[in-house]
Amino acid sequence: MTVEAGLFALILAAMLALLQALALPAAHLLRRPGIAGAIPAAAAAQALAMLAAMAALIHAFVVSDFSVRVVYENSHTAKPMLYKVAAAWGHHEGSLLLWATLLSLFGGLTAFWRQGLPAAMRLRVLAVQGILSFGVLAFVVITSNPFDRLIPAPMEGRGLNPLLQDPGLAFHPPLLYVGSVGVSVAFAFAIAALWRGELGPGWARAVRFWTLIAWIFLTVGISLGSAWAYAELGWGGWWFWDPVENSALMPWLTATALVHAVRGIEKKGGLEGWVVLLAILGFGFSLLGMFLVRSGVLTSVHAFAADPLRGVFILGLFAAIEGGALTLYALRGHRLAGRVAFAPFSRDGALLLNTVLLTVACGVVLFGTVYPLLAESLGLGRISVGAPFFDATVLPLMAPVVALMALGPLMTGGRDSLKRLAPSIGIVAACGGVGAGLGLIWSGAAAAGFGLAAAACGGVGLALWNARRRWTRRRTGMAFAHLGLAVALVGITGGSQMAAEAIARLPVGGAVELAGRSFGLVEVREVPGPNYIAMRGTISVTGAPDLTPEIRRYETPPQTTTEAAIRSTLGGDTYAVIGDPSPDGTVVRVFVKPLLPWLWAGSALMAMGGALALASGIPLTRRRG
Amino acid sequence: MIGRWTTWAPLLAFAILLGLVATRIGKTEPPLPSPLVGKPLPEFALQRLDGQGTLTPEAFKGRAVVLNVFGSWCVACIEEHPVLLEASKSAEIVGIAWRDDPVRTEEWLDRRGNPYSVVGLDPDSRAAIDLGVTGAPESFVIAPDGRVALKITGIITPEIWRNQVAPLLERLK
Amino acid sequence: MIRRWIVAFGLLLALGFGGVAHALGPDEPMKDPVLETRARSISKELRCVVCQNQSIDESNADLAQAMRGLVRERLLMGDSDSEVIGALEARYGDFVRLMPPFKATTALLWSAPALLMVLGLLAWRRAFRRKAAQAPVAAAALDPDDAAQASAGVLATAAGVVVVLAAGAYLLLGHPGAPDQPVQPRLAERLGVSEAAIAEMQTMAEQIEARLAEAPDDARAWLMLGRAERYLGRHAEAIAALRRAIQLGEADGEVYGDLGESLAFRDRKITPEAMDAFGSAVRLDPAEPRAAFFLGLQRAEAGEIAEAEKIWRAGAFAQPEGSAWAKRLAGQADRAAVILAQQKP
Repeated sequence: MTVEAGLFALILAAMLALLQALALPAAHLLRRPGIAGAIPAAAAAQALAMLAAMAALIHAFVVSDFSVRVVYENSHTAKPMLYKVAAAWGHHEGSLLLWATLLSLFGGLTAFWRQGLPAAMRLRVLAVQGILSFGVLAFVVITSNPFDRLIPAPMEGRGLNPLLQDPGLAFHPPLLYVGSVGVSVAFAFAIAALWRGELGPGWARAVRFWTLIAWIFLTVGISLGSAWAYAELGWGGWWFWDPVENSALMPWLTATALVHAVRGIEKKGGLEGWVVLLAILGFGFSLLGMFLVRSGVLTSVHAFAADPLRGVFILGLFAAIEGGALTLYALRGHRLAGRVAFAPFSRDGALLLNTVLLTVACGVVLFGTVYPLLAESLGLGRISVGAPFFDATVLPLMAPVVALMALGPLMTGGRDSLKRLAPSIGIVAACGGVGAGLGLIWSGAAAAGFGLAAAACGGVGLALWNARRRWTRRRTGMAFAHLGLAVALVGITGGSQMAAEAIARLPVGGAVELAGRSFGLVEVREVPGPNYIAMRGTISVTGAPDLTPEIRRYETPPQTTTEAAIRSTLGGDTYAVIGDPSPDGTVVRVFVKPLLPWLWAGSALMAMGGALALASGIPLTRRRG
Repeated sequence: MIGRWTTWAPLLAFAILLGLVATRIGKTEPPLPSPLVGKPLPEFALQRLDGQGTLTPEAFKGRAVVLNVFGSWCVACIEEHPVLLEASKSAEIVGIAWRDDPVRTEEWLDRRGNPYSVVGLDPDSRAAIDLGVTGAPESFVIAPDGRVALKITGIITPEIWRNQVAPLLERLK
Repeated sequence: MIRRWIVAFGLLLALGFGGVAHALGPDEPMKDPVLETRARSISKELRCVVCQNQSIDESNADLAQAMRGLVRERLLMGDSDSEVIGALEARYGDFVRLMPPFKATTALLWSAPALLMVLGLLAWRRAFRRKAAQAPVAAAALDPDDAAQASAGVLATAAGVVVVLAAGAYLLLGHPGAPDQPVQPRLAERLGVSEAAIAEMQTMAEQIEARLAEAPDDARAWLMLGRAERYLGRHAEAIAALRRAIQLGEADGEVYGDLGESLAFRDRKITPEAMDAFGSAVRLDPAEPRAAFFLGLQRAEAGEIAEAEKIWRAGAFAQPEGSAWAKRLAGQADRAAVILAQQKP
């Protein structure tokens, strides 16, 4: 009965969300404040019910209960246990259930973790979360019930898309979801602030706390997704500006702006309106991502096949949540916007400018992503907006962001002068010059990338030196995160500007030269895997261990995937893939991607920096004074 | 804030964007409009299926014809085929066998009937790219002066033939 | 609806699905490295028109390959980069360009970065000139405070209402009383063995796979793996393993019989592929019972009942007397004989 219990728990959670959403208005209407006291209990119960529902679905996948339609459609008995579990969220219904579960979980945590907020704020936040949960759960129950039954049950399932059978992909969606759903807490706080008409004490600290959590998970989730594409798709790319990638990037950009802007309120006040708007936009981008992937309006490698009912429902949900929030902002936002207490040329001025630039970059990504759809509905014909457009517009916008990131922390709060700052600018510019000079060996783009990265490192180093007597966990966290971005930039620049590749059809025993090394095809043989048979090539590399790329043939469903062999060192990646062997030989493609692993290291540093900053924000450990 | 209206700007932008995107729900992508319509048919020289020299646009100059891109591997072409067979009684249809093996093409036409006055072979997509083809079947109505009068992406249904292609051919004659 | 599906299917075939993702092939690059670099960068700006958001440089679709060939050919003829892109644009329109050209229809797109930047900078400047915030909205008179505790009565009523509503909705949507149906007990029941036996067979299959990962040329192990998969009803996996066993020399009539039977089970009909397997089975072992059974069945389905009867009868004679297969084949032959008798006027 676990399947049916799961469905009941799901419906129960939806009803609890309704209670959570309506209790506060009911308390006002009936003039009985006591009713509102049920809200935290409802939030906690909703989180538990959703955990139970998710557990029930995972259980159905683990025991291969093919009487559940999504298990039949997406699983198979001959599948390793890890991927049976991961298959639970490898399709529309399950991933939506996971999304909703995380939303409820964040609601339950907000109820549990009071963070010294007054009840008037806390209960409003929870009520908003109740509205969000109810909307999403209604969508799940009405259009995408994951517990739909198939009776009589088939004996075998149809199997999961083999492309999804990769550890990176098993964990990338849940992590990314924690991030994009986590932004909903800041959204709820923003609506509660507009509803109440003021932010009140503790608001900014709480928003920063929850947004940082979301930001950390977004950072890790996006990097894992990139790393997966890099290893699995077999042509050495790791970012394609695909609409769905963009819809993960947009909440990340907004959350980055938000964690920075909210510092302005924490310290001096004056940015309330901007922070509230960023919080509303941040979750709006999460919802936009969900809308684009699940409504069927665009085709993408990541998109789930969708029926029109789902499209209309999710459009309504998106319009109601985001449209409602922006209407509230339109009516009340001006009441929040205070006068800023600092000059444009100051640390806070630079910080504010950077949040604006990040938002502009986000706007360009948004525009490029939806423009083909706009053009189609306006009858302007069919237009493609691809990687070259984004490279040409977004990357130049990110350059001043990195420069400001290097210089901003060196400025004084309140008001700074060019005269005081000049020596710092000199040092940062010198670092940048050295980097750019080095980059010029390869290309102009490499000069820009290495120059900015070096300048950022110089800025971070100088900021740490300036603050050497007043080190806090928060400062260290910031330094880590900023350094992480610089390191990632080195990886991105090296991996794209210094890369080389070779393609050859080799007989066994043949070799191809690349970047001064010889890659020899030693053998090609068949090897079985848990639910596939692989054609594995062994490629010898001068002065390094062998590479063993594979082609994997899956039987259910019949599909072929490539497994690149990647050897990472500090200096860069060596990357090899093979094609099908034929009488003329085997196609071998080798890539040298210098410094690319720095991208993953940089992402990890950024996430660690976020975690350090987060630790400084937890009330229990926060230093007072 | 200087003007109170500024807080309305995000809502306005959101409403416009969402309104436009919403019109795409439940619709498939519109077929790619062909920039060739109204322009002269691009030159091509294809080997003929019957082995008698090459097929160039010169071969049907001065006549209104339908140029049909098909392949024996193409499932949708099987569905379209009876319509072409019927239409070939009253119109001239020229075939381009795209990415196909001549033996298979021959077999396919033997089995299902041959509506084409002549078939050109395009094994390496040269003519297909010149014609801006993205899939099969695709068809072009060519005017006697050699201009492309109409492009149809996908299957020519009996309705499309009756309502679009046949009247157009009549006018072009 | 069906028509749209067929169109989609036809187009899918044109995309060259199912291949291994390999973009540029080994025979494509040009000898001149300068031209080749140009070809690569042009290819990155052209969309593979049958793909989802891929450039022709990244795509393995046949059409993308043909387009790469065209790009290189035009470069060899001395075209400039913009002439090459222009040539494809004349065929496919703006859609083929991943970097959309600046024109009336894309003016909004191209001006967006500058426009947003100006707006952003204006907003930033204005933040420093704003007037002080207006008075906040008065807090609602009945704002609950921390002291507002839900009474037990309120909680109980709320819980009651929620559970009743949920139960009502569940009765509408769910299948109350429908039990879980995990596959293992169902498989055990169908095969008439214990669940432990199924688990044991699954463990065995995993162990054989582990062994094969070490020694991939062990024909015997491939055969065992194939039979284990067959036992578990996983015919697609069984076919792959049996084929490998046959390739490595473990080929007798019984193996081919297994292979043919799995093929027939997987495809739910007797395909030419399955016929080949049964044909090989009969060549190696004329008495192979499943070959006789399915070859006869295939004839019967084709309407050649007399031929089917002959095959089944011969098959039955070849079996040890009184064996299950002897009875089964004889039964088939008898049924065919009855049909034949009815057909004769």
